Amino acid sequence: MATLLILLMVIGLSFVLFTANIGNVSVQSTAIANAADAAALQLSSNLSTKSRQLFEGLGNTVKDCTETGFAAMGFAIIGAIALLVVSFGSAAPAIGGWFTTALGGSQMLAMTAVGAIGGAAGGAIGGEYAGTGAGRGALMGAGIGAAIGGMAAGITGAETGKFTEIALVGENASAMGAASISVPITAGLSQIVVGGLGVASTAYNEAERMRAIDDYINEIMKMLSKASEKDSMTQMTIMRAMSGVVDDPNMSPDVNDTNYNRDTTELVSDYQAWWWQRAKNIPKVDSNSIANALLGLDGLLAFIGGILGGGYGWAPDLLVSKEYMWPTDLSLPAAQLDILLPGKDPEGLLAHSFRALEGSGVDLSFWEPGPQYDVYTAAYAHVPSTACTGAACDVPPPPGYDRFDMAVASLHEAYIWVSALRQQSPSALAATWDHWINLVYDPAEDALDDPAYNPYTDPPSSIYGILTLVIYEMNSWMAEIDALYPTWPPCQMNAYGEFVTAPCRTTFSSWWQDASFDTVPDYEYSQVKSWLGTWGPMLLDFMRSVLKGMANYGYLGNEIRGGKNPATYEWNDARGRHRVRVKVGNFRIPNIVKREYGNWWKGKTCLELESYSDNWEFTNLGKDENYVEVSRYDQPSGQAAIGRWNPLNRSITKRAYYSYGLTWDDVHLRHRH
Amino acid sequence: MKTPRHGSPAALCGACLLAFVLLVSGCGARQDVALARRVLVLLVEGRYSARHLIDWEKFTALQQPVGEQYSAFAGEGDRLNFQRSFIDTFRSGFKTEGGDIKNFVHWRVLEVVEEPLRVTRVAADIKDRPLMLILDIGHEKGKRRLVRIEAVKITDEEAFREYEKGARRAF
Repeated sequence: MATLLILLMVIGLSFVLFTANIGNVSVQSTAIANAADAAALQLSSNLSTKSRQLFEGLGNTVKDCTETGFAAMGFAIIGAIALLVVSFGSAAPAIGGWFTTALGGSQMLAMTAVGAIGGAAGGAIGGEYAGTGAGRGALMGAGIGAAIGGMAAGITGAETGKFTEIALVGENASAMGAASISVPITAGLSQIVVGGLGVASTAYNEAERMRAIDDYINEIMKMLSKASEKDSMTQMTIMRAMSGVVDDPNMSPDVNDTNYNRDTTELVSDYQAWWWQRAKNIPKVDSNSIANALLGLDGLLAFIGGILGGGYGWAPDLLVSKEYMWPTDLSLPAAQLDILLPGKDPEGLLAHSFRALEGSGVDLSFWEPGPQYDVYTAAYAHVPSTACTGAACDVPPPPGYDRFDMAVASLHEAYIWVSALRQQSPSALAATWDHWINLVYDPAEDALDDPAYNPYTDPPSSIYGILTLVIYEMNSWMAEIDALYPTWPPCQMNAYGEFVTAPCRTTFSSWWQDASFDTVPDYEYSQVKSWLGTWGPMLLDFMRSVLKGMANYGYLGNEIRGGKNPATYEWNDARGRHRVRVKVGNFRIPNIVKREYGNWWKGKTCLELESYSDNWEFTNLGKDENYVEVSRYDQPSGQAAIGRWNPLNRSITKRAYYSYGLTWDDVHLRHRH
Repeated sequence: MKTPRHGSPAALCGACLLAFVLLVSGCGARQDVALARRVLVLLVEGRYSARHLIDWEKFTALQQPVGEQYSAFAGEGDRLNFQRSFIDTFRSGFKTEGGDIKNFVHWRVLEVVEEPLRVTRVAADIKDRPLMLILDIGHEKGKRRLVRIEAVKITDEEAFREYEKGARRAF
């Protein structure tokens, strides 16, 4: 009976816990839907604001045409930021000059009004429109109105962050040596962020929740403001949505000083640090940088493929021996890239030259004949394909395996890594950067340049490190040959046109130093020196700098950790592993275009507002891209089934579709699913 | 018996004239204060009627050469668009920053300058802040229009008060 009761209690408890977890899922689902809605509304509000400003700038119309007077309009294709900075940058004497005369004060207090400028003018004016009367007037009016409005807001910058004194430009130049009693105020601009205030408010609230501070948000906004307008809007929307769903409790030392308080030991939210990294580098990320990175990888593939035996590129077959070679055909399936091939005859320059030297009786420390193809293949088959420990890793190298073979094998390994990366789509590469960046370049391996570095006790773990290793090897090979060179006798030719002794040095002149490694007078020394002493290390070093540059540039660093759009944030905590993904549809930014109609005799030029609403003349061509999608997946931890966080074991996804237009009434959610 | 001394008619007339001039000029200054206040209100409200109260070609605001920008456009259409969008976005900027016209207090004439253009400098303090807005009303060809908006931060209140007293005495 007691057993039955206990069993019933367990069943009951299981039911309660399971129900509780279902309840958790429900709460999560609501939070996700709310986050998607809020982010969608924020984005639609930003787009609507911009639509309205452009609409007003055109004189409350979506199409402003004129017969004449617009020809001069095209003279200035001036970006809003540049125009504003130039336009608002000058200073003049205070209060018409008499203060300056009497007291000599010449400081200029620059003030910025982020939201107003960004909202009212910065985002609204662009391209050719900036050169029109409406455009210029809007810019001037917005800046001046915002500055005066900020003065009269009755609140200080510190209280709201909206109106901030950002700089004191110039020193007090009073001839009397007395402090100035007043300084003129001018409208200066340092940040132009469309929808900045809304985002600042959101971000601030979230940051408070995440124990961040105002400086951190300012920094995020400043960094994002450097991105393109669309990137900026997209990232702010992602931030808005993600902040409503992520509840990562993990904290780490603020090593990047994300809040600029010079304390790098305080603990800050991992999520905060993650956003800081993203915002810092997203402005640097564009499709060009991805394309450039791929070009860099392509160049590396071509070079390594060529010297490994691809028969093309700068140094075809340089490292090929007649005993074996590695496949370099990228059309092969990945698994087959790792299967040894028989060698080529004639073999590559280096193996040929080293073989000749050894055949002449010189014992090179880095080169021995072999390993033979079948022996190498058999030995290679025993090499563990996955991580190993202890004796399992201790596979003896095949006979003849030397440093030359090790360099070739290392380069081949790099080749496989690069080709695997290259086969990924750019977006996949971007999204998974932090999983593979260390394969490309590991800053710790800068230490490999140290002359004391021993590649045998500390093998490289990145492509960069492998290139370093090969450079090291090439230099040491050449040094060894150079050390032997003076000991060789002068070359003497017999009646058959062959050298009597080998290796031997040439004595044609003092400036032509060469040597033949065998009795055939083909002078291997200069060819080997050309590659080992110059071109090989130089090209490999160039490839290294490309890899390092890619990693340091920004695109390929931590900056797009999580991907640009969609963005994914992942973390582990006591409940298990969690993943939040936000995707912003490919929205169109309202803009003004100039169109010309008619002909030379009679025509008109129009400024037309486009994409001013989500359904503007079906600009989306039937594809509804005006949405924000948020999904969250909570991977169950290893607890018993009844205690798992996400008993349904699947992700929850909500997508909110929004509308926008010329009035606030157009800003709303259309539907969600 | 001596006839009591009275002022000569000429002196009397002179005194009356002086009183009249002072009265008129005082009224004019007060009108300039009202005009300055009105222009600012119209701008803040985004009313296009402010266009007629601004001397656009001479206009500078917060040290920005608005007039230069405006004068760069020769066409009437462009100039009109410039004026309208300036007023539109002035309102937007002011409102977005949370500006409140009621925070401009203590409107007064700060100074009258005669050269090169007769200008009345109208000042308004910003409530609870060491800031001051100055609107210059220019007098030209019988018209009075806003020619400049300036804002200053008072860094030494005591010295500034002394200065203003001196300016007022001169006025």
